[in-house]
Amino acid sequence: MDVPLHQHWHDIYLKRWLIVLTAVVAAAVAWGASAVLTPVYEAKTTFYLASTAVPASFSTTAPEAPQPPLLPMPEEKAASIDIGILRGTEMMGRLAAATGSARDALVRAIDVTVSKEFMVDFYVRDPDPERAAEIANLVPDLYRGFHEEQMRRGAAAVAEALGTELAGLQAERDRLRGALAQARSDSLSAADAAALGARERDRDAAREALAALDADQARQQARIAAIGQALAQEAALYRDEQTADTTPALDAMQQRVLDLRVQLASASAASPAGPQRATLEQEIAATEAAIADERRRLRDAGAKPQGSLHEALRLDLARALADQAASAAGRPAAAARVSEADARFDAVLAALALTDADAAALAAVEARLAATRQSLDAARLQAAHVAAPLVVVSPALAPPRAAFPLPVLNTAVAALTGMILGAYYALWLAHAERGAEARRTQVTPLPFFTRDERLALIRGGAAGLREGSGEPPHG
Amino acid sequence: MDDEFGALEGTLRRRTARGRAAIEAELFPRRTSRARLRRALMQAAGAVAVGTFAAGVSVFLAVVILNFIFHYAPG
Repeated sequence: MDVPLHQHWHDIYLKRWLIVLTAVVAAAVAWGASAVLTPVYEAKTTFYLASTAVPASFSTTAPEAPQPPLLPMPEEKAASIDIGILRGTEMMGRLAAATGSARDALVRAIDVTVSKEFMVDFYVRDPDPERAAEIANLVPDLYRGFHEEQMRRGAAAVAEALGTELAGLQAERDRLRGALAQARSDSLSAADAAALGARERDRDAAREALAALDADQARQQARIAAIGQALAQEAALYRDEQTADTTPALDAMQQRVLDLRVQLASASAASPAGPQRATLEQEIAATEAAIADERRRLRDAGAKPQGSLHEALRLDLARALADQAASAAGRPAAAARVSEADARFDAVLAALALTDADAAALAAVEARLAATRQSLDAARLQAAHVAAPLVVVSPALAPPRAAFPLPVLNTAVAALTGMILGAYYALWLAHAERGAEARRTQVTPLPFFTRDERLALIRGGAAGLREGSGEPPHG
Repeated sequence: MDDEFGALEGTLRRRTARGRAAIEAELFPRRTSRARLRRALMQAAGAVAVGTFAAGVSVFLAVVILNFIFHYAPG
């Protein structure tokens, strides 16, 4: 049954209300379903692992340049590794244990993607927005812990290996030391021992000479210090003017004695046996005694002849300084003799010890021991202080809106789909109606005619129909 | 000749069927209106069924297909 295209449009137009009804029903059902469905909230946290970060160094040499900032590796493969680990059984198991939820449910509720900036976006869906954010925020810490555990394990393995090697090296060193000592004691002949002893005596003598020189130096130094102190005392004495012949007090007392004598003379003239005279005499005697004391003190003070002691002290100081300079001049020579004697002794000792190979091996073992100890310390430090360079760019926040279902989107898409399917439905209905009409026509009995009558009638009817309705004859 | 006859016969049959239908509608108007109502209701029920199916398809599209493209929810 050939149907022209405009007939289809006509059918759609005729059944437009059916199409609208379909679209409305679809939209309503979608809206209702969105309202009935449990909303699911989605929280997202973004972080990255700076794979290019410089590893921590515990060596003694300080880095000259500052460490570069921790940045994500600009490569999708590196971020894909993160995703692989995050989606892996181990991490999911840890997350399930930390959140107390089933692992399978958790696997369905998460999504991990790499952002355009090569960071890791971790999505968690849950009916409770707070819990979604909480789970999402646990992930960076767990991931950091996962990496730190790996790093710690690696450093611990290195430390264990280094410890084993260290024990081996120590045993080797002890063995070599024993062998060296044995070889030295074995290879020492009587003549060699005598030569060695002579060198040793030389060395000891040189050391003793140096020590005597040092003691002499110390003595000279002490003497110089003592003379300096005496000079300082004398200077203080001069500064206090305690070497003067008189003092203001002595002058006053002498003046007082003169005055008293004048008074005594006048008193004697007035009354030779008066009580005032006796008092004056007593006072005069007391003052004279005081004058005598003062003079004695002055004499004692002036007993040091000015300049004589001072000069003697200065002479002593000059002599002491000269002696010290002389002994100091001799010291480098003595020190040189000591080092020379040391070198000779060592040379003789080295010449006598016929174990150069052992000594070299021992030195090598010692060097390796030192290096291994340093590495072991570094490995232990690394094992104790691992830090995965993970940077959280944006922690998860409780989402304010549900991620699913989205009622507006669902309704819009459902209305559109309903319109399209409604149009198909309308076309199908029209097609079915046409089919039904055709079948009905097919089974409609024609009026009974003889063949000739029938033909004539049909022809006439057809001509009439052509004229009446303008329907074109087929064929 | 036969083709022409067949075509004319078809036209005649169509006309006859339409005439019978018109006569039936005229003679039994209730029966035809009931049938029309029934047909309209059946069509409306079909529209509801198709609409429900469209809603299901669209929700499926929004949830599953968009999830693949935009990661679960656009925006």
